Amino acid sequence: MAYVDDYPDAAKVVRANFGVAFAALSIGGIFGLIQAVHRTGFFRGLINSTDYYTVLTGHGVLLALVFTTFFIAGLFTWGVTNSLERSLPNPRLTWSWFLVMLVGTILATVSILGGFVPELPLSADVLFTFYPPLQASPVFYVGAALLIVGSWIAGLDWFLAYWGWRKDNDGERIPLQTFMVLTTMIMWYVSTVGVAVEVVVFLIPWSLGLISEVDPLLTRTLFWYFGHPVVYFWLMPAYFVWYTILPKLAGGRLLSDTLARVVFVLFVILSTPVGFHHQYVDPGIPEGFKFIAMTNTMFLLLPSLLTAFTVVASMEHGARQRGGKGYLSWLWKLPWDNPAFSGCALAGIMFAAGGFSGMINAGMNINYLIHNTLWVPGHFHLTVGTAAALTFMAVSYWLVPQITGKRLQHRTLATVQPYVWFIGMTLMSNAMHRAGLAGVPRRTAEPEYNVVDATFPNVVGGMGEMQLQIVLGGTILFVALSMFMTVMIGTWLAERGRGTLSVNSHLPPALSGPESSPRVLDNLKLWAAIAIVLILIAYGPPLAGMLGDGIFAPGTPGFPV
Amino acid sequence: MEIHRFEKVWIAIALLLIVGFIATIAYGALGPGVKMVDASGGTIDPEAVAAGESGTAFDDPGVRQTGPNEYDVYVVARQFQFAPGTSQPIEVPAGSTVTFHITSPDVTHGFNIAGTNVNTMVIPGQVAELTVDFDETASYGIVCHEYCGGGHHTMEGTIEVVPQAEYDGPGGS
Amino acid sequence: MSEDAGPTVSRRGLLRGAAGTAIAAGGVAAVGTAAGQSGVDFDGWFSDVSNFDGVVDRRGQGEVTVEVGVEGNGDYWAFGPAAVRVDPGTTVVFEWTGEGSAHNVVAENDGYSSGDPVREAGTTFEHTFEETGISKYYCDPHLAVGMKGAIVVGDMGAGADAGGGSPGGISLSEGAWLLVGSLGLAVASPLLFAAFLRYRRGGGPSGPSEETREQLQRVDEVDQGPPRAEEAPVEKPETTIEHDEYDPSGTLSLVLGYLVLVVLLWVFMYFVEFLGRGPTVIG
Repeated sequence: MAYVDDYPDAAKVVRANFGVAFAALSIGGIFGLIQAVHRTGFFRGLINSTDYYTVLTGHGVLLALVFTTFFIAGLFTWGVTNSLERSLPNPRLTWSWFLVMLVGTILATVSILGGFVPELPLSADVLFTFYPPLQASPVFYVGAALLIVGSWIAGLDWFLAYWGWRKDNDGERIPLQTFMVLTTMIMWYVSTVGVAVEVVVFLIPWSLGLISEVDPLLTRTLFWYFGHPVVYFWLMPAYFVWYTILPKLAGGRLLSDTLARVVFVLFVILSTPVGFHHQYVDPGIPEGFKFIAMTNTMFLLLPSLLTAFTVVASMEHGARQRGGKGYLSWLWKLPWDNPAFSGCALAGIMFAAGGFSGMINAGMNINYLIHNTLWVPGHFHLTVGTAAALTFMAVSYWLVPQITGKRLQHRTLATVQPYVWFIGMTLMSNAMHRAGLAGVPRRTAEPEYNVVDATFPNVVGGMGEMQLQIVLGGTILFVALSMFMTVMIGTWLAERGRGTLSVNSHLPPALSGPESSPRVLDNLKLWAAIAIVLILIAYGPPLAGMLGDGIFAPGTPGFPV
Repeated sequence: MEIHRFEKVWIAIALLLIVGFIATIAYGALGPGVKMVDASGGTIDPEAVAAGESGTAFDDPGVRQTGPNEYDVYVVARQFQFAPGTSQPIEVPAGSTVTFHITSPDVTHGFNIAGTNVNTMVIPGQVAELTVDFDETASYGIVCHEYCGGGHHTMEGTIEVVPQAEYDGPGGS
Repeated sequence: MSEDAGPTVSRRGLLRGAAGTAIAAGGVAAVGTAAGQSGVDFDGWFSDVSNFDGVVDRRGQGEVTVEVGVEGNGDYWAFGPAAVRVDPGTTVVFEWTGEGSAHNVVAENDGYSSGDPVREAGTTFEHTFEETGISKYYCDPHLAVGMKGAIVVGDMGAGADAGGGSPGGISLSEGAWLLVGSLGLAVASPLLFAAFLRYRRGGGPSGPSEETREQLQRVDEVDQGPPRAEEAPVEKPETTIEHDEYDPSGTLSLVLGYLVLVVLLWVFMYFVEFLGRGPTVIG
């Protein structure tokens, strides 16, 4: 009996979400390859440099918003039903959030792609951050809003399932997976308020011509109120996998249920009052507020450092249960030939590197060194682009057989795929970090400038080598993505029920289980309240300052792109 | 609550690391005196800047001398030019203290003196104000590092830091 | 101004070269005939100008107006009309519309220029064209997005149609659009096919093969509905280690190694890379 037989309705929901996620991943991946060859100057014949920004918008929105949100919705639907051992309460509600998200995605995607056809009135070359006064067509903003509203309803669906379970299980601890889903969604509700206000109150009326001006600083501040927590919305599901599935894949058990819960509580509390660290070099924001955001951001390192220990220790436990010995030689006893395991483990290694460049990003004044340089995309291709994305691919190798009832196909391809991704990302992000240090900017179609001696002379190894590494890495990543899609499509098309599955769904309990962890950790209302208080402290005074001269002032009309 | 003693050690070390990072940043601000761009530049009406009727020095951007070896540089960053900077280089003498005032009449831009730590966002409605010491003769490129429209990748400029003896005052270029 | 314009234009030249390659892929015929039949060879000048629609004939007028800042190239980043034919000795008045940020008029080769970019509506700049030939000009801030124009002075090539094929900018983006679209479709097609197969399988009587069905009946008595999936057996650990007998010493050494690396890199980044390079913002 696999998940698909136990919960056929929920399995269908998970499959639908994964299907949309993988489609977005494919298109976004193609865009990524086009960018890699265009920006490095290897081949600029496919698009012109103005359309580069259309491609860049598509890449960012499809991968960072659509792929992640749909995959997470599928993963969490599985996690809630699996750990509560009950179906979602209302199928109609479930399909309605999926449809709302899907319609939003289609609207946003169509308006972005409209940028390729000048004859169409649709365009949204505003990039992932859509900073006003760059103005997209209203369709884009409505689509983005629907995607977020859909995710809110999905969260409600999971909460309803939890409340139903609570009625029947009074006094029991929240199962760990459900606990992680609920805390992630609390963080998501609190943080998406910013972007919802930005889009609904300001950008939609402004793009429709109902209001003539918006304040660029206020709207970008509202964006970053959401724009940093969103990275935890990508990361917490990856942690969900690392804490609850990876130990089992390694052959061991989670070291500590307590610390897992502590980590997620810390994310609820600290994820949002940090957005100003994306605005360290913005004018109009006093330095003191930037310092407060920096302190919060640095303490946000704590849950990730705790995770590093707990997750590695759980893997070590697995290796030792498999007969591993010695200080480090147990590493060889880990199942490196199981792509679900190796993908998660390699994602973790890359996250350790991305964590370091994140520490630099978080350091307030050192931000002058790398702000808006290629260092930044180098960083987030390690975090969302690998820690989250490669973990999602890896867990698909384990989960897709269970939600389809089909054996994983093309095992060899799957076994190699995480390593290919790892190599490609190593090349690309290494070059991006180093080029960024020399001052090469991000978000540009042609990083060749007349004024900077045609190259950036300080790049160790020279610009040529950087460009080569980026284009080579990008191509290898695209190959890895194609391998993943081949495995997924092959599995999807395979015949159901032929032979036994390659996986089992057994998840062993933690070594130190919930019975020994403080009950206060499950008090979700308390943590939400503390989060809101911290947000009021970090955001109240600066927002009051920005609103002091009027909600729409200093205002500017739109510049459609 | 069962927490392994190794893990307790690690929590302590992690907290120490975090405090160390914060201390480093504080040192950078207090010791070498690195200062963040802040609200000191004030706000401005972007449409007035666009029309050249803001009643400020942005109506006639350029270099102004404010004291011995002290200069104010007013820069308007617009799609897809720095004025001054693109059409003619910004020229200041070596050994001077220069305060840049930068704003945008249209969309959000970036202002990065390539290869240095001078790096700011240029946001319509806000004036970015940053003071920099130029000790040595050099020629720097200025790069717009925030996407500002289809021609973003062409937006660049130059700053010439010339020897004191060769500098013939603001507007002398 | 001219010192800077030189290198800038030459880089744009490279850009145009790249764009030209794309057109060659997209619509060779259109561009090839443009030069041959219209008689006016702009040498690719208008390949990325979206509002170029042939040469507008304004011969017989002593004064001709060209608007600066009409809709095109993704915003109000165009001259209207982009290409005009005038008699020798005609004065062309460039008149600013006030749209699309600040503009100027700079000759590609012929030396005239309106100076620094301005935005004020109603601003004018005049130039009298005496010599027969093509005089190309552009707006300096918006050259990259295709804000370019040309004055054709005299009758050269006037006999043929003024059109000159489809404007390059559009054919280019359509080509890119098609390429991207077909690539996307190519990747999505297996998904669509999978969806189709599933749909068909769900509708028709076909299910698992006889062989599978028998096998499943052996495994499970149920043969109603889709066949049940059987999971792999749960792995049995070689040895079982409980919480109190487990010291993650390997983990501790790994994370401490990471800590040392991070501290060293942090010190290098902060004190060498960051504080070691100037100038820095100090106020």
